[in-house]
Amino acid sequence: MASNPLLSVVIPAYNVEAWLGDCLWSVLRQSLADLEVLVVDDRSPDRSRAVAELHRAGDHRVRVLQHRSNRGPAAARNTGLRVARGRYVTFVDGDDLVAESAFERLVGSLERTGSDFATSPIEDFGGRHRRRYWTNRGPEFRTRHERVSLLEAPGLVLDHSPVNKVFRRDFLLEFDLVWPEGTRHEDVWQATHAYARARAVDVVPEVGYFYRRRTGSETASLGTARMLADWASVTTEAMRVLREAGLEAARSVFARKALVDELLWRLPALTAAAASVPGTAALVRDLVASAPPRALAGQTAETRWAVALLALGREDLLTLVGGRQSSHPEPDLSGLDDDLPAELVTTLGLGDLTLKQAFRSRILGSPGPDLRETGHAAPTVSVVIPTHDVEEYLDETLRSIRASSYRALEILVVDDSSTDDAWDIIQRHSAEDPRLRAFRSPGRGGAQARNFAIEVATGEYLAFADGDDLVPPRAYVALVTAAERTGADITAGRYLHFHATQTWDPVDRYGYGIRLDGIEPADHTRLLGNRSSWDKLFRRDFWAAHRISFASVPRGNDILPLGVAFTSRPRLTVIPDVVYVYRTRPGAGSMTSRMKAGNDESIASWATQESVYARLIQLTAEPALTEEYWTRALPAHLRYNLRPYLAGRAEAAPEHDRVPTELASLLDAAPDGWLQRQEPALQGVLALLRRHELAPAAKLAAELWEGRRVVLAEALDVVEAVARTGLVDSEALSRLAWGMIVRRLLGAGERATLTDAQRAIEVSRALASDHHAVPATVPAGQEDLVSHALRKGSAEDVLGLLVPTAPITGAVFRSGWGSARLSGPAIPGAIRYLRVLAVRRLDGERVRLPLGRIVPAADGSGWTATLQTVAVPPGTWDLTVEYEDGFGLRRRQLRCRVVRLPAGLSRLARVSPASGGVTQSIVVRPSLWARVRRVPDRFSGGA
Amino acid sequence: MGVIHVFPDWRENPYLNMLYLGARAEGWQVDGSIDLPGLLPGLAGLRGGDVFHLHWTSPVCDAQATARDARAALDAFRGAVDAALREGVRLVWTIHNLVAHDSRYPDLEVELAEFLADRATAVIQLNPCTVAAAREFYLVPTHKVRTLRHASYLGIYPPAPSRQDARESFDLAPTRRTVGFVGRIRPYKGIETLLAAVGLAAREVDGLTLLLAGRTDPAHKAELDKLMPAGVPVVSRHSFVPDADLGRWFSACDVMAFPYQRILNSGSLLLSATYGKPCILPAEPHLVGALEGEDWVTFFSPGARAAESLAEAIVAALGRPTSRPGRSARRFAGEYTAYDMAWDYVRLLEELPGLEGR
Repeated sequence: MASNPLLSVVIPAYNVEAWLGDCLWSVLRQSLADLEVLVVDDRSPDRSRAVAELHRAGDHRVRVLQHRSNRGPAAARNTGLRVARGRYVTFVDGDDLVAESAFERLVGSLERTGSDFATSPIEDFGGRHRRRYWTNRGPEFRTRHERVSLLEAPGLVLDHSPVNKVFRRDFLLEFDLVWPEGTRHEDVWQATHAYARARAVDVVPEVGYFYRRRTGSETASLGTARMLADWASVTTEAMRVLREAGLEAARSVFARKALVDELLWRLPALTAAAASVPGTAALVRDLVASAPPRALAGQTAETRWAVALLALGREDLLTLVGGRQSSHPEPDLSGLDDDLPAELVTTLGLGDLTLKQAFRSRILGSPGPDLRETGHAAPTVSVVIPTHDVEEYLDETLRSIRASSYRALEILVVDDSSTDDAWDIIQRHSAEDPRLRAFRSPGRGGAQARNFAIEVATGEYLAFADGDDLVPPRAYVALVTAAERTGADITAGRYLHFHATQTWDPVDRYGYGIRLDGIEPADHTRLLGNRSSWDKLFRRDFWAAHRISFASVPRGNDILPLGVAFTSRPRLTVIPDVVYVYRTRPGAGSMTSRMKAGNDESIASWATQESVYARLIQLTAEPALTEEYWTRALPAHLRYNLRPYLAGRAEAAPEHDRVPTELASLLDAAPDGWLQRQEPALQGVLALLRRHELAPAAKLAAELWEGRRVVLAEALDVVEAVARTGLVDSEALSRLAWGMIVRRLLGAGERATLTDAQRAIEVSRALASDHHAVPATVPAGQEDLVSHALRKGSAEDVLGLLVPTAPITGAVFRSGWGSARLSGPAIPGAIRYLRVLAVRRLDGERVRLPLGRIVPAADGSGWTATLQTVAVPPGTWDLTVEYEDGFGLRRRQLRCRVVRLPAGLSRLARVSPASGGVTQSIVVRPSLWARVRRVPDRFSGGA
Repeated sequence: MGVIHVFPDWRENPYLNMLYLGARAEGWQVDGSIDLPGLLPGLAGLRGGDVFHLHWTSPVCDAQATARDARAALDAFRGAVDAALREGVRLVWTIHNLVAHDSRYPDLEVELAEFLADRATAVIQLNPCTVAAAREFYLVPTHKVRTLRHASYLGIYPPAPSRQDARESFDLAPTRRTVGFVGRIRPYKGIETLLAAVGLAAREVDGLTLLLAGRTDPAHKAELDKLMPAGVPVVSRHSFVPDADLGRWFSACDVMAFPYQRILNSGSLLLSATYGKPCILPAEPHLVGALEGEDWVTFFSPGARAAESLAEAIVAALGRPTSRPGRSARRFAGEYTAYDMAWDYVRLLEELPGLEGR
């Protein structure tokens, strides 16, 4: 009997026929060869077993096990673990890929350290982008760690995938760390137990595993009642295990993730279920109590209500939150005033209402204590309106404000040097309405006009409007009533964007759907994303006490006053009423339009304001505010402002251009590691801007934001320019380099020159790490072939892949019932013959079914492949012959139609050249019968 | 607030967006559908207090391939509307055309109109004469009728370039006299009359040039080509004019001519006012009633000698200075804007039986 292998690789296989071949390929080609592969066929109804058997026939390290019935991936992993013989064991899913040296790195680490298991990051592929899997995005995965535990690295608690780890087998057996069967969340259970029990864990920072993101895969649906109950039960168990192990920091990280992401992802499903999911209420309370303070700070009011209702076990009321409101008949609200965790009560902004009262008035919309009033003794609102060349719109604006049902207004219109008829319009309105006072601005610009109006204002409240927008008639009634009732310093409403053919409501972005009374901004950070003044009512003494004023800048003069206001710990009330209609002006007149045109001074002004704003946030020392600003608010502002600034730039930044400097100042305020968390292309754009390299920044920005592709030489220049900045870390640089170089080489095709290929090799060698070329271990596409060739380092090979090649001629094809045979004369230049696959697109996925290995004739005269075609789905397929020559892996194709026969057999028929064109084809010699019959089509053949 | 289901919810039409602005701001949820398969579930989803607002009827019957399908569609529509009404939904119908232009099933269109007139909670006419004009086809109970003008497009479409810039873009000399038509080019718009009239007017106005822009049915295009007046320069565009380009066409014209036949309301007329252009219209009673006394509007006599009358009107309009009528047109546009219409509509909703004070 052979000695035990170093590593056992367990691969559950269920409905993975299309990918299992590639998966096995990536495992069997590992640099660590001392392994056994245990494919556990979980009674898959497709050809998964046949694919596994095919590999077993060709590689003695492969064993195939089979369940008698389908029992799920947990049972399959456990089956594999039971029969595994390796000192180490790892688990791979049958549709994924493993990086070439992954096992060597992980096992090597364990051999050195003696830790219980080693883990490495996963990357998604199969979607539009390749990116780090969410469980491995934490800082723990950025550098190598040896012999750590959840005590030192609590963030590892989120690393719950079973597939990116190599375990010491006796560690799993010692603690009986098998996967629980009968749940869909077995991974969380097993990983949490494993981390809680582990004495030591190694973290290998190189990406080792590639997770195929595909629609309809098991992880894509979370929503059935059973899965919800499953999730609640497994999450509860994980929280228990962490508590018992005394891992409070890890528990807090876990609770935050479970509360803010996992629970919230499941809200639609919980809402649809509308029935109590066992264990949810207790779990939600535990999560809220265990998560860090302000874990819900970035959530909308609707979400908070939903969490509160879940904590009270009232899933039946979820449909009423944020949906169609109906108060007939009023639902049973008993139990709503039961004890709710204080963290949740604070977060709902109830003011002086009980939860039940607030539910009635805010969710059901019943007339409650939120009374509106319009008395003459009402406090005065000073409405500040700066105007500049807005004659087209001003009359509408002023009419809308004068028509307000709130009469106690002081309308202060300050004209800022209009050259059109705006002043005449203002004077006409002033003559008609004594509440309207017209001023010529003593200075220049909208900020001075506003500041001047604020100086002369006498009202208890300040409101703002622009001269081209509209104020709904009931806006001020709603704002003042709410402000008076709650004593708010700032009262904010919703607004609409209005354009010729579209009106939209950005409420979801800011969370203004449900009323919130007297809250603090740090508890509701999402509101900070909205930095406009015109949808808010400010108490004038608050404004004065904090010396708030508008900055005289060409752009973004709302940013600073709102920054100061938000960071002065105001009492904030939010109402769901629409209080402003913002007109997206047609044509090119408005400030926003000027921004869109990329006016440099405007952008520089924005960057200056933003930089100060960032520091105001920093001064609050509120982690929730900082996180909101840097993770959500700023990336959106960067895109919005830098996109027009960079569009079409072909030159370096001129001396007078302040944008790069201002932007650098802004980025200097970023928290540690912020830049590294951004996608590589954005890192590149920001780095180039810091170095005043506008031309390459513009090209990269066009790729990032416009989806425009630059040519190869430019791509290489861009990547080198990014590298020269010295501001982007090697991982991001490597990702950027691989993505741009490989795709651009393919785009260049025959036009690529030897110099191009040489430069591509040089740049990729200098900048790209090997592991970012993966899944190059698997020949999954032309992209990977080019990656291979680049890594090999021969420019001729790279070019060889880009030029047309000759077809395989003189092949013979014979098809029978359930099998077929393809053979041919020796292929010129072939070094190694590999396999034959059936390839096609099926339901949006590229399906590749291995059908047989190619066996070369002993005398070198040709090759033969026996193809197992049983149960290949019917339809048109490209039979693909894979072989290697001096340029790397090659493919030639033969198109055929698969006809389904009784008893699950399939037969290949009607052979013709493949879709890739003649040079990519296999030309089949007509059969003797056909030649006798003189069939004229030389490509036809077959049985 | 409830839901307003708009049908057909033709999103590219600024009128609908302008109309519902106020309702949206007051908290109504505005959604809609564009065909019967979308409408039926939409209606089924409405509840008491919601509003079904129907505008153009053509997607109900006229979109069907056969008369039998059209009958089935009408029956399905009626069934769905009646079911919604039983739920307490309010039906509002805006009459945009007396019957759908060029309807393939005119009898069914009239039957549909009669049904709507009978079931509607309120019927909106865009000018005070509409319901009277509709008597020829169907009767609308007077107590249901509300008049809600079509707003101008002030502040909606981009400002126009200067006359000089617009003319340069078409290679037209500043002194050249021009008459224009901008809008969908269809038979009922009386384009044939306009072409004949321009031919006649060109005998008296040196170098008279016609500017013609709008989507044209390919079938109608060949017919149109045959009718082009000989020897008259024509600048034409037979496809949709993007919003951003509308102002250029209006600005390059001295006067606009909209020789509509059987049309009640036209966005083109209001565009003309928005861009400050004098305009020639047929002396239809409802148009005369609404626009009499406006010095930027000239009427011609429709009927047997329409082309001659229109030609005279073109010659007369081009003979007058255009600056004062232009200002009048702008004043007219400013008197009733999207803001006015949107909140008048809100008031109309709030006064609907059963929704008072909402």
